[in-house]
Amino acid sequence: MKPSPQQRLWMYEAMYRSRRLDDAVLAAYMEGKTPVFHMGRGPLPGEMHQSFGQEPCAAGVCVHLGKDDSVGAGHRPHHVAVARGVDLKKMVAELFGKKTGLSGGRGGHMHLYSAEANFFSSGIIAEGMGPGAGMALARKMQGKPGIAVTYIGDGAANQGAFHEVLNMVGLWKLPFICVIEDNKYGVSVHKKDSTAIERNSDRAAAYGIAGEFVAGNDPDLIFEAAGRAVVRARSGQGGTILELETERLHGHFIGDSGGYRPDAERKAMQDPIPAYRERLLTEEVSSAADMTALEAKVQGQVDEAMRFGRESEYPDATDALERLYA
Amino acid sequence: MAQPAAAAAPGSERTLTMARAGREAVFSEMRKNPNMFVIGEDVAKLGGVFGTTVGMAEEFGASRVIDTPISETGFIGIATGAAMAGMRPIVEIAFVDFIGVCFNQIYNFAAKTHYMSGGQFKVPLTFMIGYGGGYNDAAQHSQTLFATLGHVPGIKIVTPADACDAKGLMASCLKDDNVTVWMVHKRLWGLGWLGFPLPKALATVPEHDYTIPFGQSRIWREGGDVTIVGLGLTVHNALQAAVQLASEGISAEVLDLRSVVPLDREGIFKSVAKTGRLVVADEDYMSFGVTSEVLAVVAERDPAVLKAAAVRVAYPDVPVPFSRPMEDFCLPNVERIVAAVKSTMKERK
Amino acid sequence: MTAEGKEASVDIVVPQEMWGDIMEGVVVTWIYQNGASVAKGQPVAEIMVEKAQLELVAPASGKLTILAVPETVIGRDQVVGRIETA
Repeated sequence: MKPSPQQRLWMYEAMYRSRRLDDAVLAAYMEGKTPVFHMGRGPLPGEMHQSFGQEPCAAGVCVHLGKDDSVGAGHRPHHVAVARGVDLKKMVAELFGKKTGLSGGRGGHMHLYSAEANFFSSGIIAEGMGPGAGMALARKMQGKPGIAVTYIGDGAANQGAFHEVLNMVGLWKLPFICVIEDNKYGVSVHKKDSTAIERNSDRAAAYGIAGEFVAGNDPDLIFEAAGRAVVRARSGQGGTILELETERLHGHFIGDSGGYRPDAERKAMQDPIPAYRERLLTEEVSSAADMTALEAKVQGQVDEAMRFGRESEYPDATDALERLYA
Repeated sequence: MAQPAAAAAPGSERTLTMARAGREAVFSEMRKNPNMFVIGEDVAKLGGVFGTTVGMAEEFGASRVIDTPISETGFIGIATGAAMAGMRPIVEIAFVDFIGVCFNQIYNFAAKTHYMSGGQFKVPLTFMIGYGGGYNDAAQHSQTLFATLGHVPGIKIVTPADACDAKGLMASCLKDDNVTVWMVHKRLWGLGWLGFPLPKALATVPEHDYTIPFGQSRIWREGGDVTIVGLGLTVHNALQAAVQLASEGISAEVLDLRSVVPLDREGIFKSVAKTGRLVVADEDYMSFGVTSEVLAVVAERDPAVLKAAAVRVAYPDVPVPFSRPMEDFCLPNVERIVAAVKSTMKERK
Repeated sequence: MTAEGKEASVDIVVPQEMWGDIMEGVVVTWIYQNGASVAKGQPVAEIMVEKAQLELVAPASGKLTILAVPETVIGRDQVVGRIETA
């Protein structure tokens, strides 16, 4: 099933919003960190794993999801959170550690939670596999509609939790999709040096679930495969490993020059967003004027969110001791 | 990148970072022991996320410096088996927070095999681990967890606070036939991007090989009014607190545990018996931790040596918050240590 | 002294290939003190360029003079130290 023009524009908008956010966050992150890079300095301290190049993976899947569904992401969550519709202002405030943030500043960049958007992310590799499948199990137990999706990287497919959880997904026919964003790197280690087989989607056979690989980092192709996985889950046919070839355009985190990657490989990477924009204009899904208007609107949203994040207040220091227990 | 050290001219003292000093010990033992190998994530090409293995893949090759998949339970189990079969693996876990994914392999198998086998199998396994926060890496990348590891019988744990101790303690770990853990606070490695090296973390490090025994604490500063016990980064905070306290007429003794397991109970008691006051500073969560154990040493031997109640300056029992004001509030910093010492001076006796 | 009767000295600069596209770095720490004797090829300092911590080795054997002290920002072609070889 191919995407409609509205769905294609939705996907472009989600990707563009994520990209403009990542651009703004990169600039803010580097404040206070030049000329000397000190992780704890500046308005946006700590680690920062950005999503440049991986936006299609979020847009092409989340376009199929609704309010009953649940999405989990990992340590590189921004594009997924944006595509999922997490409140942009609260998300940015959380990155700045402000009390208006999603978690009042307790979580930070890797630990973005939004009950409103049915979204969570966490910082330990493959940690979201179990919880994601648990979201699926709960819906099945409660007789409620909705499926669960967890995003991981290709490196996470070698973590124990991946195997354990998918076996149970297969065993119990849980409505769960494991999206693997295959950017071919686990920090500095290439997939060929960490993974015994070429396609992680082939591992699905070991767990009695479906597996599909999508090449090209192409939102329209991702849309189609994701559509199949979503239908499968919603109709009670069980889970899918949806392996999406993508590109990590920058280093593992801000400050990682990626010097361990061959130069030729880095130079050959394609940015999916301008390419998709070009396609939408060529195929007359949007006019140039409408596209520009859309982009201006999105930029305005990002600017507003960044302003909100900067201008919001920090939490009281003693708030650290509050609300440990429900 | 790293070159094998050429002989220096006599009299050329070297001031090393803790990362470099630790590496020296590893290089030395790796050159002597063909059965020794390094295994972990990003240890070969990258040289370790914190620079713990820079230059090793170039010198020893891919068969002895092994980049693993993200499979901690898997490769720690593999390293354990290799150790049981006569190899001497060094396992890197960059962040102590990651022991969660592989804890069974560490605490139920590696730590207990020598005991459970009645001594038939040795597990000469050394872990290199980074810990600690204070740079906004949030709840899952900033923990200390001495107590979590220390609580399990069968593991020896050391945490150097300067480069000289880093090299000697690493050498001891590598020569030991047990499961040993060498833990360094991330802000003590000497990496500019985690804050410039603390002056006292850098140290003159001898070129020759040497070891520092397990279970031996170190007095960094002698004093008569109070004993401040610290480990890792809190030693440095304690030293700064001692300077401030001295200007107010309070003489603080700073004792660096260096070794969590075995704990230098004699050393702790001797110092507290002399000063009569005890403050313990630890970045791990307060309850059920190192601070509790240090207090227990005194309470068990002779609580009458205390002129005042002991005070613990530890991380509160909450996850590490991300936001800067909240994280700063939780850290066992200089101000908190100074305040703790002063509170011990107030009580009568 | 060289044959010409002058002292020879070799500049210590951070090699071009370590910079990438970055224009500034910082000295993190010197391994030897000012005036120390060092041997060619020995690591003498640790430099940070963006987030990568790199090792600077002595380009020659001789007496070290430190010009850029730790925590100071250095530029691409800046001479951070010198080795007196004669």
